[in-house]
Amino acid sequence: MSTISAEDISIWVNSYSDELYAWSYYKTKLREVAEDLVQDTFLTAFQNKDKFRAESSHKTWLFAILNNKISDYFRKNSKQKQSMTDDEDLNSLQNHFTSTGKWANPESADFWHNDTELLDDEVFRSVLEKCLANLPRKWNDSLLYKYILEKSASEICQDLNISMSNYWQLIHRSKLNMKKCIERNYFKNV
Amino acid sequence: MNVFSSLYLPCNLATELVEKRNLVPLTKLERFALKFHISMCKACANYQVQSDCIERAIKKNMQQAVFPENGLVLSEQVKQRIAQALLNTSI
Repeated sequence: MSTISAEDISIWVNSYSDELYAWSYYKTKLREVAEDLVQDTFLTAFQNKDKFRAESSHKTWLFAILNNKISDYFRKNSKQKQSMTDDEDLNSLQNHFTSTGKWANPESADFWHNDTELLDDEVFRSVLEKCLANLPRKWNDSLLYKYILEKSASEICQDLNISMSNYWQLIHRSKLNMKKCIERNYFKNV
Repeated sequence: MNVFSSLYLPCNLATELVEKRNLVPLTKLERFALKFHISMCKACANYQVQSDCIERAIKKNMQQAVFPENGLVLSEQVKQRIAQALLNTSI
């Protein structure tokens, strides 16, 4: 069995701390908080080094720990509402569709077709980040695995412990909520 | 799904197929049902575009924030502080 030494951990600090910090800052937008969360992540990793499973990579493991810290941080500091909602809130599709499966709000029109401009718009980006923060933890995790850790769909299902059909249903519900949130906060005409 | 139900695909299932298609190949019948539905339903055709736009926006947003060329770096001072904290717990 491979054990992790203090030396390994210091190698990790050099190899992964920049990316962990960038992610942590991206999520919290506060330099000191982001730094502390990264430090806590390494301390937790070191204290739990026996629990490290060889089948996941060090980087994935560290990001998983960091993500837990970030979500704890939001839970403790959310003054208004829960920043990352529980999955149950989004389980029903009834906000979007009628009982017969038709769009509840079909006139939610065909704007935002010009998305190259959209993606460079500062305001759109900040709306996007706000909308993301209100989505289920699982979907946010899946985005980290997909775009930062560059994992395949089947690896993501394994890491999140969900089936492939759960995964596309999660994406479907989350996208519907993103669409609504962006229309409300950016296009404002729905 | 049978041929009959494929002609009456409701919007909630059509948009779910849009997301399913990004992960796994659809069956022939599912492909037909989706194509047929989208050809007649403006709102679902829009969803398809919007879903894709959201996906690309998220990807761009995250990767810009995190990947080293654009990403932030942790100062050496903080790295040393972390290494020291780790050393203290390991003694």
